[in-house]
Amino acid sequence: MGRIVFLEVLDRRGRLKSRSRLASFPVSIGRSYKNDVIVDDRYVSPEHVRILEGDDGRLVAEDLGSVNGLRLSGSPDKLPRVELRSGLKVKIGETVLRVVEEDAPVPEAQPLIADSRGLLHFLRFKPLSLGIIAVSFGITVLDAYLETYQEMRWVDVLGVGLGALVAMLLWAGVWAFTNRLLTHRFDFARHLAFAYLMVTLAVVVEPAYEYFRFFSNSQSSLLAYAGGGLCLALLVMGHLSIIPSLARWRRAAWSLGVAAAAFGAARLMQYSGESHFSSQISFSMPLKALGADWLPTTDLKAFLDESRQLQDDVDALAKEE
Amino acid sequence: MSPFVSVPTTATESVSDSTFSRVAGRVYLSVALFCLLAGTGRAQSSLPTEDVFQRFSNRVVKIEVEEKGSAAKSSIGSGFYVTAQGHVITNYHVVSELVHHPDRYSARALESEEDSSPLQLLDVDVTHDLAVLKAESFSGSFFSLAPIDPLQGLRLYSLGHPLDLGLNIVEGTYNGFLQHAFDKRINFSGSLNPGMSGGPAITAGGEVVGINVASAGEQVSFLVPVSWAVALLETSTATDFRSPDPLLAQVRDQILDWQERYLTEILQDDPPTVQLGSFRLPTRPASFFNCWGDSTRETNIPYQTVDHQCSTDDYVYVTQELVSGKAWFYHRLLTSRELNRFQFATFYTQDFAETYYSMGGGEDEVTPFRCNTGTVRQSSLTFKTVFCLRRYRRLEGVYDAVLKAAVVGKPLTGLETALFLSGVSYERATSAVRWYLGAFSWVE
Repeated sequence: MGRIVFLEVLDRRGRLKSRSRLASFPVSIGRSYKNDVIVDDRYVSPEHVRILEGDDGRLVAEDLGSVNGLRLSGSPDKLPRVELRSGLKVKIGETVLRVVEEDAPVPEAQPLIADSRGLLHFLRFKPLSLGIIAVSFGITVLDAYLETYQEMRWVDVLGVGLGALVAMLLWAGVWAFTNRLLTHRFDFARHLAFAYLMVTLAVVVEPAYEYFRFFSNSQSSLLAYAGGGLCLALLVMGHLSIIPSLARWRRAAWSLGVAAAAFGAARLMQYSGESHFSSQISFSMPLKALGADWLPTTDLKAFLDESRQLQDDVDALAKEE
Repeated sequence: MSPFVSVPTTATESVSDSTFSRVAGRVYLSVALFCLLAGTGRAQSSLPTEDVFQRFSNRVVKIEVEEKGSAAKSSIGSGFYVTAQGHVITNYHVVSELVHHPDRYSARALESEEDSSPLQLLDVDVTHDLAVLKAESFSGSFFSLAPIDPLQGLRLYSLGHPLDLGLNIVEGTYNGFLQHAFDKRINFSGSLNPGMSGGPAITAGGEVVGINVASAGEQVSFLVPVSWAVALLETSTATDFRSPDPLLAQVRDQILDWQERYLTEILQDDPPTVQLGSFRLPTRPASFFNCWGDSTRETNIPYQTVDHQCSTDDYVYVTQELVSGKAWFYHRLLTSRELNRFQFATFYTQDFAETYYSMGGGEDEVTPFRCNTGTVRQSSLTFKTVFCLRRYRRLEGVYDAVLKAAVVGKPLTGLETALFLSGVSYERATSAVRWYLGAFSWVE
């Protein structure tokens, strides 16, 4: 046979222990030092099995009267002979054997920087990262200023910005430390700049959402929770992308998993809050600084006609016990 | 809340002293019995209080309400005999459990601790907090009820069982009717306490002027005018009288009927208006309404608020946790010269979300609120509007309704307003909302 074949020895968890190039047949396998391939497994006999090449080029494993026999992986039946196709796993003792041909496919190499394109790539330039951090800090301070309506004190407003900064430093620090454990690099400034970018995004998106509610009078919180979940997914995904040791689909799975868990927990808490009876009326409605001409309005009669549904709703509630 | 109904404006507040509320929560009023000299002659004694007590105390009973499973009293109150057949008048709130859970509760009248008689609940007048019952047996002394028109300052003697301590007599004076109430209630300057509810307040000659009903503390107490008891008794002693079954349906009809009269009086004309900033707003819609106002004067906050609210002292006791029959509203003007538009919007949003009001009521009595939200254009103003509704579970067609609204589109100026209506029909609630919002306007 002109082809080249490799014998792979795997432990019971499927991890590769050794790989041998098979040049000539028969090949003997067992625990003793007389064998061509030596397997370190106490359930394997000293002379356990041998691999023969048939006239038609097919490879066959043959039990040599071992104590624990020759089996197909995943099957308890002992077999005297097994034909070895490329990739087929057979088991001796606790050890798995697999024959692989030289043209068997292998996946492409993982890039050293997992995501070497786009925004995260540019964050490698320190000045850009530092610029983003500075601008974002300014935005958090501005946001705090615009939400202050008590007696205005700059130290309080700056305090909000500094508080956010400290939280960001801790958050980025955790990611940078994880980065260090996995890749021997900190990338602290990139993590910090990225986290700040996401906070800035939230600071911008939140008022947009408030304006949406101002226009639509929507009382549903589903959109807010979904948006929050999406932001969280993006945040985790971005940090994982800076740490280059995970495959892309794994990063996506982790991000979505974290976001879905947070979304589910938030909805659950909201549900348990809502199901509790209250004799108080509580609702929130954003009141924005906009001319009333911009707002879609109804007249009072239409509003009250629409409210008639409430009567049916509470009548139905009254019938429940 | 004390079962002995407190003054309307504080009716939803809880009693902070736990010992007081524990005792008070289960005590109404009783009667001690000295069966002497009933109804004979006019007292000429130099000790009139002692004399009044000697002569009339045997007409007053302690009423015990018993939960059938527990075989012991769950609450007590007072009452008094008004006919030779053994009819007893007391407060509705003393025996309300018999109305809401007739299969679980029973009542009896005690002339003394050893001498009790089962009571049958015949009829109620929930809006005036009265009930008429009939005792199976009694000693025979009773008050003859008749309308009376006393002069302010008349000395009155209230009888009852405060805190189940035995029959007490309390001196006080008649001070006319409450000014800020649609329904007449007597302002009695004397010290009524929990347990005296349902007992009579009488003149030295034994004429019943009113029925003990509530207290605001500090010698400010309230009586139901005897004329309502006369009317109730007239109905329930008529030859063709049959006790309403179930009494809850009677309660429902009375609440709706009362609100119909009350709101008709309020809504018959457009309300007068008051100007806050550039807004003209509804105020004191009827002579029995009482309005209050206040404003912030602190110099170290960058905004100003002005409050204006109107209410009446009316209320209808439904259950221990649920008080109905109120209508009230408030306005709050918010302005600022120091905040920018965004800061003002944040302030306005926060303030609107934080002002809330609990209407009271337990989960088994009322449904949760359901609300509709909208942007309403009315009288050239744009309102962000929330209209909420809940129903009384056991009283079909009776609702509590709340309108909250905030005017938008006026730079650095906000106006919040709210209208609360309890124990109303849906149609009345919506007509009140139209009447209310229709009175708003903007003056340049």
